[in-house]
Amino acid sequence: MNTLDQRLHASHQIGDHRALVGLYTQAADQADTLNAACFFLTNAYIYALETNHPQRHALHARLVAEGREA
Amino acid sequence: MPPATSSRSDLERVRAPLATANGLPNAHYVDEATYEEEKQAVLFANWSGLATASDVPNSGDAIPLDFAGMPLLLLRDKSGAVRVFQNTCRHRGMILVSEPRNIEGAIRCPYHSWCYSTKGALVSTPHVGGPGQNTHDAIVREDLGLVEIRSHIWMDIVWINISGTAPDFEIVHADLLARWQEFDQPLFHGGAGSTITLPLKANWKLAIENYCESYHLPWVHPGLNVISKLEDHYHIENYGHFSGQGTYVYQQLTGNAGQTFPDFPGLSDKWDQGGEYIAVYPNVLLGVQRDHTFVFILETQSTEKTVEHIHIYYAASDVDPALKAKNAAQWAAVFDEDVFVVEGMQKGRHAMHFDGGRFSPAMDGPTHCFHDWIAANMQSHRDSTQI
Repeated sequence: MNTLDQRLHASHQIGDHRALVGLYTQAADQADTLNAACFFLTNAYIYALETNHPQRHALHARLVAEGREA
Repeated sequence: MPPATSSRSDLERVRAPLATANGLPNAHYVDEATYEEEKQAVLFANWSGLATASDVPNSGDAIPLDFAGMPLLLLRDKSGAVRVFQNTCRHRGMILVSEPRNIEGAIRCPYHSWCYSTKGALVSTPHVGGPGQNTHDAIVREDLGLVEIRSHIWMDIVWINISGTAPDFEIVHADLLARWQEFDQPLFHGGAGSTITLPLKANWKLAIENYCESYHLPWVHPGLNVISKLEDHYHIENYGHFSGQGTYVYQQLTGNAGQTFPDFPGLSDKWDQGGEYIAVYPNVLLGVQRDHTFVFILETQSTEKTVEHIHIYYAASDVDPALKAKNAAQWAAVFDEDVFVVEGMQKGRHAMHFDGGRFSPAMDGPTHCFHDWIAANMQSHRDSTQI
C-alpha cells in the first residue's frame, strides 16, 4: 500500500488537485503538532478553494478556529 | 537619412486639410521606438478592442491574452460579468493563467498559491505569516486584489482602456452608438465556423486604412464590385472617432433553396439595401447589414505583425448552418483579397524616401480621418510627457 507521502506525490505529479484536498486533510489529521497540522490544512484549503471543493468551508473554519486564516 | 521617428512638423502635415496632407511617415510602420510610443498614445490611452464576450461563454471561463505586449486575463466571473485583469499575481508578478481554461473555484497562482476570486479579490495568502499561518498584518488583502482593467462590452466586443483615463465609452462613441442604435440588440455569434483568423505581415494601422475606404474596391475586389460598384458607396467620416464607408446596394445572400438569413428585428428602410463598414479607432473594424454583422479585432504582435480576429453574428442562434458556412466562406475570400495590399503597403514603407503619400481629395477622406486621429493622439501624448 502506498504511503500518504507517495499518494501526495503522485497526485501532485498528475495534477489531481481535488485528490490533494483529501490527502492534505489526512496529513493534517495525522500531524504531531498544531503547526504541522495547520501547514497541511492550509494546503488542503488552497486546493479546495481552487477546485471549488465542498470541503472548502469546513477547512476554512478549522483554520480560522486556530487563528491561521482570516 | 530620415529621422527615426516623426517630428511635430511631420504630424502637422498629416493633420493638414485632406487635399494637401501627407500620410503618416514610415516611422509609424517600421520603427520600434515609434511603435512603443503609439502603444501608450493610441492603444492604451483609448478604448481598444481586446476580444469578444463570446470568447468566454461560461462562468469561470478564462483566457490569457497578450495585448500589445501586456499580459491580460479575460474571464467571465461567477456572476456572469465579463472582466479583464492584469494576468499578474500581486505577490511576485507571476503570470496567473497560462492556458485558456475554466476556473472552477479560485484563481491560484502557480508560484506561491495566493488565491483570487473570479471578481479579483485576494481570498487567501497561504503561509504568508510563516508555515501554516495565512495572515500577516502587513498583507492587507483588500488592498491586493487583481488589478482590473477598465472594460466595456458593445457589439459583443470587449473594449478596454488600459490607461484608465479615457472618457466613458458611451461618451467617446456617442455618435456611433446613435448612428447604429438599431443594431443595439442581441447579436448571436455564428459559432466556430464563423470565426476567421488572418495573420498579416504588416503594421496594424494598415488594416484599418485599407478597410475604411472604398477607393480600392474595383481593383482589389472585382467580384464584389460586380454587385456593389464604387459609385454605390459613400464615405463615413467622423473626425476624432471613426471612419469608413457605406453601400446603398447590399444584397442578401441566398441559399440553394432561395432561403435567406433572418433580419435583425425593427430595422428601418435604410437597411433594406444598406450596409455600413466602419473602423472604430484604434483597432476595431465593424460591418453591419440587415441580416448579419461582423467585427475584426486587430491584434498587434509587433511593429510589422498583426493578426485579424474576425467574428460573424446573426439575428438568431439557429440560422441555417449551410448558409452560415457559405457566408463565412464568401467573406473570408473577400478579406483574403486585402492581404496582399496591406502587406504590400508595409513593404513599401521601407522605402526611405516615401513621404507618407498623398491622399485623393475625393476618395481618401476616411483614411485621412484615421491618420489625423493617430497624429493628434501622438502629438498630445508627446506634449503631455515632455519634461
